[in-house]
Amino acid sequence: MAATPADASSSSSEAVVGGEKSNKMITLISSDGESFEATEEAAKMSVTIKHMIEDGCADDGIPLPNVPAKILSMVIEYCNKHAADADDTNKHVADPADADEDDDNNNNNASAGEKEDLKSFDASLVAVDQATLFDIILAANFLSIKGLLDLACQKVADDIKDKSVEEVREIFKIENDFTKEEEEAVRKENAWAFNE
Amino acid sequence: VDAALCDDLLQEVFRLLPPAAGPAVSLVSRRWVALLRASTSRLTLRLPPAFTGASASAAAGPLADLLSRYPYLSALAVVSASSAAAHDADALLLAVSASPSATRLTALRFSVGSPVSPAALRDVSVTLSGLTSLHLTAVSPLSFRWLACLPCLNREALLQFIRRRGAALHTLDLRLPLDLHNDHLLAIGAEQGHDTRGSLAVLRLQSCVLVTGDGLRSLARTAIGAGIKDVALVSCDVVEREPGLLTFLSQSMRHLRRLDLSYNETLKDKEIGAMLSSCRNLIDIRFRGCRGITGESLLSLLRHCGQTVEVVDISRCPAIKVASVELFAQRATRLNHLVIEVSSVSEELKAIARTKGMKVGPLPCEGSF
Repeated sequence: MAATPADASSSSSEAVVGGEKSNKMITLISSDGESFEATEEAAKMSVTIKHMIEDGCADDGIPLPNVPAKILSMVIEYCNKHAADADDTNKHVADPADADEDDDNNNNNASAGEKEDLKSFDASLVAVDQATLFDIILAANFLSIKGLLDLACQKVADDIKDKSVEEVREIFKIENDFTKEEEEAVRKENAWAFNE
Repeated sequence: VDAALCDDLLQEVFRLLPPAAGPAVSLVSRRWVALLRASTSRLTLRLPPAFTGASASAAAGPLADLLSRYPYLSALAVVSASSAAAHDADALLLAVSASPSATRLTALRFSVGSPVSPAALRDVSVTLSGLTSLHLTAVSPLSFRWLACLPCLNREALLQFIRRRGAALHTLDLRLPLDLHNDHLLAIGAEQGHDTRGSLAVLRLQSCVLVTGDGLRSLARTAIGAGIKDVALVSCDVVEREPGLLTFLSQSMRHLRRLDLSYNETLKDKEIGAMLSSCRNLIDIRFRGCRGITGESLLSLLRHCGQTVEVVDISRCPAIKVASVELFAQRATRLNHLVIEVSSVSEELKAIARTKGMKVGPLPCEGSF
């Protein structure tokens, strides 16, 4: 991807090293005021941030009032890891429109070992408590990082799927608000729909 | 924590759940069951058998109730849990078509142990107009007219239906624009393993432009085809495209009693004459709108079927002269109904009709079928 005019006129220090890749660093500011640095490339895994950069709003750092520091650092970790992986074979940033192309190229060129590495990274990233997991989902949704959103949602689904009703309520801290009649009606419906 | 995930995100999670997780998730809370239902696009419902004593349509109310809670279905299957079920299929189908998902449905599988009627299928085709896939196990009485009301259906459906029919077809009346082709005819003629003699009695085809002579000939050669008593090839290209076809059919279908060749505008006397020479049992023949035939055809009819034919339709055949009609009416011994437009009825013809006690004139309901 060619360097945009915005890069050249940015006030942050930068060094454009070879080819088309920009090593420019982007500052991201969490809801509690902490600053984090990320490469532009990694930051652009978030479509939200990508648009802000392209609109020239990123010069003084990007405030993210919805994302606490703890979560932001995890998000950046994810983006760093996956941007580096995507970068192995081409210069495209993970824009939704380019996603499929990236995967094809990755599959062709990334070794099985690298893919395993990525999978175990993803698994450990979301092996957190429910509250943190939800925060990751919210952040990924707000920042429009599809890969991370899917990853975190899948983790929640996996956590639920083999559990009983009581266990699910326990995990999510949900109160049972059904009346006896309502609960009976749902069970009857389930008998038709799930052949229970 | 429950409030942590907004509805959209919770639904994202639900969409990733396997169906087996449904029951537990649905019982967590009111909000969860509502969101789960809203995120469900494919649903299979197994109806319990209708209880003896309860009416066959007892399941219709509960079904409608259930479906009202699933407004975003695109694929629905309604099946009976056991083959002993005796549900009112029409009532259940109507419940489906009245549900909020009806217009959104693209695939419907309906197998409730008893047949759906063509009338019900016609009625529901208005709301179920988006169906691209319809799977039915029984339609009674057998008719395919309702298919024309569901324009998005994959046409292979008809072929599958014919191939898998349980009972032998008796009447096949198809007025599908353009869709019937030879494979369907071959499927009709295919033996089913049980006694098929005389099973298909009526074959009516209208505007079936993809049917060729080969298809019809193949059908005529089978035991089923040879037993056909009533054939209509109304406005079917094939009749005009392939000379000799009609003769072949009349030779093969020895039991042929009724023949409708209406609106085949280029059909010629010669073809008709050759065909009629093999017709031994014809009692009803229609030539409405066959603009190409003249009194010659009536003479052929007289020669070969003069003793048997009872009903003849020669409306809109301007090339047939009045004198030919009068001669025919006079000489056809069993003719009791001559269908012809009022303007072509001469005084002489009226007199002949009075003497012989036969009806002459247009059909009671003029216009298309």
